Amino acid sequence: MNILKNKQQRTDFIFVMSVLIPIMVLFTIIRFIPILQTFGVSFFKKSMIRPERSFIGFENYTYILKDKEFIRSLMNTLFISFFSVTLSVVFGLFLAMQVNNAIIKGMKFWQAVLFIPVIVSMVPSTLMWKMLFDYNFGVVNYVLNVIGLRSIDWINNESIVRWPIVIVGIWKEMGYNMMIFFVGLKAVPHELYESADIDGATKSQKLWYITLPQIKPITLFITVMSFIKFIKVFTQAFVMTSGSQSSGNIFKTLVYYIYQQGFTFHSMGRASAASMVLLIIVFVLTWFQMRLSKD
Amino acid sequence: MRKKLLFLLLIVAIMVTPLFAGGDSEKAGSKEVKLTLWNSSQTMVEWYDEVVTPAFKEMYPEVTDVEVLYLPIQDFVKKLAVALPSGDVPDIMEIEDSWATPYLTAGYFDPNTPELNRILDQMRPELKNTVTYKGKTYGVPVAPFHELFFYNLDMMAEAGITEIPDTMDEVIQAAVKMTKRDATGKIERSGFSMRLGGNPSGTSQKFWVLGLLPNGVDIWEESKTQPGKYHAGFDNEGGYNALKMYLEMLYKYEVDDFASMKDTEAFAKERTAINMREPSAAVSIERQGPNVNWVAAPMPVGNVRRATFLITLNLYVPKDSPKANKDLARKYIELATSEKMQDNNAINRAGFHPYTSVDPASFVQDRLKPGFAMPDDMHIITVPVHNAYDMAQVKLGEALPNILKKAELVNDPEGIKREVAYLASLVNDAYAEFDEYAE
Repeated sequence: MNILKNKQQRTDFIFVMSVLIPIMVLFTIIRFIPILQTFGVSFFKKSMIRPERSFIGFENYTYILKDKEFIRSLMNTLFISFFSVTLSVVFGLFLAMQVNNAIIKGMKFWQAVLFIPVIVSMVPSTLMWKMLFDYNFGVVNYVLNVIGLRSIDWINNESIVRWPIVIVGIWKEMGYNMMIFFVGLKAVPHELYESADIDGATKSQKLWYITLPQIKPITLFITVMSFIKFIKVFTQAFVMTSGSQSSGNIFKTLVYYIYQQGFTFHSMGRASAASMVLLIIVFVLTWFQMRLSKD
Repeated sequence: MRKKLLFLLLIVAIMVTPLFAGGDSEKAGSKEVKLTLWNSSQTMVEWYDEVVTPAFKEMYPEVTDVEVLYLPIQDFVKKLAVALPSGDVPDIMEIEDSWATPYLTAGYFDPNTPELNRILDQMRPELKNTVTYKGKTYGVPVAPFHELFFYNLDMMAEAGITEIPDTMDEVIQAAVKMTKRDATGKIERSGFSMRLGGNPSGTSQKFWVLGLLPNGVDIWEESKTQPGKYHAGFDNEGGYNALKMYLEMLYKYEVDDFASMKDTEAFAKERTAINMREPSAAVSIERQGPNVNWVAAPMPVGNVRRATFLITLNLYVPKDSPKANKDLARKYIELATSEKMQDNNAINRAGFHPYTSVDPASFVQDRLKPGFAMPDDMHIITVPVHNAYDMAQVKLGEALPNILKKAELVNDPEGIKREVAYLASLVNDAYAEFDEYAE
């Protein structure tokens, strides 16, 4: 019996390994080794287009940490991440509750409509929003004019263009968040609400004392995953501020900084150092999520 | 057992088939050749496909096609950075001079053959500057372009301006008269379309030709004490005057602002009266605004001199391109850069004819001719083969719009000096990145 059990275990072990090893090898080749190489290159002065390289220790790190553009890019990225994540989570939860309560007819249809932005590619989405925010012909300024307000130059000002970029992010993300929250809300036991009704709880009390605590793990998951996604923000900021009618990538994000160091200035050492900083931020967030999950 | 064997054979067949499917026609015994060319200028694709390639195929019947792969500039820049070091390259590459520099100095292109140099020798001497590195030449200019002004004649007439301005002061005065605002004070039509953003390289290119060169200074200058070393050339009175002029155009004369429509699109839609651009913009103006009544004119005289740049798209043979096709690739470049083909380029694309023996104005349409007439006092400046140049341009172009947003600077001479010194420090930082050049 014991031998049989061992045989069974061996068979299981072989099966699990035969399935896992190819994936682990692939993961090592396309993820783990490049990360290690990036870490290694970050200590060298290395041009993307020249074979020679020289060891310079932490010089790339000290350069980027002193570089005003890097700090600006980091601050811009944190701004976008904070507002996009917070607002897309809040709106996502709000929409999920409406869908869950089926307050209007054809909720399945509206659910699908709200999910459309998630599947639309980021470039056309951003171009569409860019047209809406255009100073001369955009609908947003038209509406402002109709209600007696002056047009705003949304795109050409670093402190203003961040808001259209946040809006694009929320618009893209909230449909996904809604779906996840919807699943979470479905799993909340009805009995809890029935008991609350008997006790005379108000809607806001039910939300605060039943719904939110029950969906806490999902909220945490969405928040951290969204943050990891937004910390890598690039496309919407790049497209929104590119082109001859725009102000020329005035709103630089961390990924754009890495792209520019690598592809424009060919400095792989600095691009790698900046990538490692990004990696550390993502690591900290993941650790934070695991820590909170344990609690 | 039979089933297993059949299954194994099927697997082997699936794996082996692609190895045979990909063989090129030359290896199969045929002499047919297909050349590939990468470019980033959409208007040039038509010219290669419809003018150069048919003539080339007639001369070399073994060439079945010259495939031109067009990539928008951002993608093209990325592709260059990946393709050239990895050796995955086409037979011919068309690259703008300053973008090619890092690759040229790193040895990714073949030096010119005597035949290509013979063509180069017949071209304007300034152009040689863009392809010469350490005494050797790499590539041949195929599409040079210079900078000129486009004027809307109807708007000029409406403002009572009868003559094309010849100095920058006259340009600003004319622009003031042609600027139109709505009831709220918002600019409806700018008097002069300033380049205040977009691709940073372009932003600094325009500042270079409109601000720095007419004030007698350049982005870089050679060290007086260490020949062969360079530093920013505008941390001086010329640079101060250039930045001051930009600020005054925005905040004193108010001929443009950040929000109004810009560039060729604005000119074609009659949202600006004067635009500074390369001549090929005429094609877009005619497409987008066929009824616009315009004329071109040469760059006006600035505080110190009259100047324009000559930027070129060059054709290069990559070092790692297929060896069997190299001769044909060079023949293609010889044909595309021949005087006859350049005549055609000037007619169809409003290109700047590079041959010394030809008057650049002779082939272009009448409305463009005045912009091609090179007055005797015109200085023609080209981009040097410096590794730091592109980085310097990008850094300058990124910083400039933020400085120009500071309206308070217009009445602050010390502030302007500070900003000029800051811009110059960015250029010096870029040169410092390359020990070869930094002073």
